[in-house]
Amino acid sequence: MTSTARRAVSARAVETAPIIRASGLVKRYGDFTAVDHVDLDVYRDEIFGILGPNGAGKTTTLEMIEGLRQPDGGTIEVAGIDAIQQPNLVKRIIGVQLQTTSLFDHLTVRELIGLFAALYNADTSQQRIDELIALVSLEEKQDARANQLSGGQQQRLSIALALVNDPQIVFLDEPTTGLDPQARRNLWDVISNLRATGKTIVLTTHYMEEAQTLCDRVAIMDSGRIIACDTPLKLIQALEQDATIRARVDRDLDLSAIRALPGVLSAEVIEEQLAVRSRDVQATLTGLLAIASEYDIRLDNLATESANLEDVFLNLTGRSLRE
Amino acid sequence: MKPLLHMILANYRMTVRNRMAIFWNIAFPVIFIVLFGFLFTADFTVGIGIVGADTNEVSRSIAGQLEALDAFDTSTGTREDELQALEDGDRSIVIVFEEGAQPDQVSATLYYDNSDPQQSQIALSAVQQYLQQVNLAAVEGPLPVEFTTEPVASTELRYIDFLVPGILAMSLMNSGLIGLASAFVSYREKGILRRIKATPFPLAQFIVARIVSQLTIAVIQAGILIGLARLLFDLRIDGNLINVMIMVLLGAMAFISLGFVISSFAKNQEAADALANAISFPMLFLAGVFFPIEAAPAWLQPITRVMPLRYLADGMRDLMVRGSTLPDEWLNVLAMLLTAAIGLLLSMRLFKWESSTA
Repeated sequence: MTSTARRAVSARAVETAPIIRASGLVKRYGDFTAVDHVDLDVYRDEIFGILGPNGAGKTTTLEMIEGLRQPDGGTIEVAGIDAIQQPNLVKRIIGVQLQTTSLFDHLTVRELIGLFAALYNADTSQQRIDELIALVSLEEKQDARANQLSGGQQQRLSIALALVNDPQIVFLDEPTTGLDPQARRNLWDVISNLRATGKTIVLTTHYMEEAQTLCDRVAIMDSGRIIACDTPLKLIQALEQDATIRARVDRDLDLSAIRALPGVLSAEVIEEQLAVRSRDVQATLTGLLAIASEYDIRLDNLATESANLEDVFLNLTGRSLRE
Repeated sequence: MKPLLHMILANYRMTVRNRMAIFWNIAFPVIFIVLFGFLFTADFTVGIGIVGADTNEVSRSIAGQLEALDAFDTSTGTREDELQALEDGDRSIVIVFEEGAQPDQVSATLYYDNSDPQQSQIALSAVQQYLQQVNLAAVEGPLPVEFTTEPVASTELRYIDFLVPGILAMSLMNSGLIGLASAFVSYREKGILRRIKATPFPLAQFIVARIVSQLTIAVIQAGILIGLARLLFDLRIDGNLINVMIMVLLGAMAFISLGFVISSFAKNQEAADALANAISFPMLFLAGVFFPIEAAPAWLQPITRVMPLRYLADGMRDLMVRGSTLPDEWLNVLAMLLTAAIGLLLSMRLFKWESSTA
């Protein structure tokens, strides 16, 4: 399915009632408020992403919905079930992948999938296990012990474990953190395929590419709050910004002159790397080149980069996602 | 039932594949038994103590003839010393001669060790036969020897008989305390407990599955150790094996629940191991596993009285080699039940799903 088609589907889905409805969620640890009045609606058949830096409260939010943590305030409804009153009913219809789970060391991939299927009182037949293994492409590793798997394979195994009960909703907490780009792309394929089998997926990530490529809708979270929530396209369009101009500079330059150029939103140099955010790339670039030749500054690796979710985050918080 | 059965089955699989667990639960105690068994194997001659050999002509003659027999290792001494030696297991039989009712008559009391029947019965019947012959040989007059038998329970056993129940108690402690604590702490550290919490499988059943598999392993452990000691060293088994296995289960349960307490306290694997060792090590040496604790200084006795391992080792030993029964062992049984109950209650209060609330 192309991404436009996907978004069309989800636009339709938006009109139906949400499958997850969380409102006013609060979680405090002592004086620290980890989740601060979060409202979330997730619709059937969409991939919903929660994007934010480490410590933003993404995992805590997810785990309250999963029934792993008791919220200090707010309400959660999952597929019509009150998740705070009846977490055990919710656990039966959702699949969960936690951020850091290593599994029982001495069991094989097949045995682990069989065991978890049994824990859900679900189908433990060999065909069903084969099916789940195929779904996450672990055929070659099915008889390997969990601790002999690579990071990417372990993540795929935990996704298979999240599917043993054929859940309506699958929660993935930072599924690609720590993976190399190849493994990350493989996992994106697995997740997209899942969505195609009619599951609703909620994932957290601090990779903006992941949110942008994979998710139908993204909630941007920072310091325990959701500060924006929409499709990636709309979030970016809402920025006045057009693109970021980047170049390597070999010496100090007068940033105030650059900031005065037409269209410039911000300009900074970090470790010899110039970044100029602009709402009018053509005008800014022309001005920038003029300054460079006037002061005889060499601009290496000059490039422009279309606005992305990173810029959305920067614009909303004044900080970079990676900080 | 299906989730619980699968979890138990998975626990069996994991245990069988865990080489460290197999080593500590089976190989380690076996090595102890074999090593100590061969180091301290006692000889099997029948020791006879003779008291009052000089009472009169008859006793002198009997004592002289007994001393001449190769089958017996005779020694003479005071009544007190010889009876003590019998109690300590150094004699199989002690003959005490006293003046008979008439000048040419001697009365003999045969004290024998009834806690070591195989050996003392042989000695007893040999001596009885011998004395009867002396009587038959007397052609006229009163019978020269009047004899009675008197059973004495020796407190001392062959070292191997003493050791094996102790080693069994030790290995039940180790697999309960260390095995369970380190498994649960690592489950918590690795996030496995949280992963289980995310499923509809109740924690209580997860714990029950673990207890069931540990208890099974305890019974197998006991079977292997007892069987091996029987085979290699002819371990004395006087008790009812079913009683012994019930004690095995009670002891395993007591230490499993202490393992739970440790796993609730310990923040990580290292802390769990350290804590388990801190608790098990003193018990290993002070609870009468390797030597009788009665021999320890008096000031130590109260300390050993609070050690659960002492009650398990005592109970195990009494049931296995002293022919005692479970009701006789009520104190030791009660100690195990109390330990299990206190441990489970404590750990239910202290249980944590995860290492930290992050």
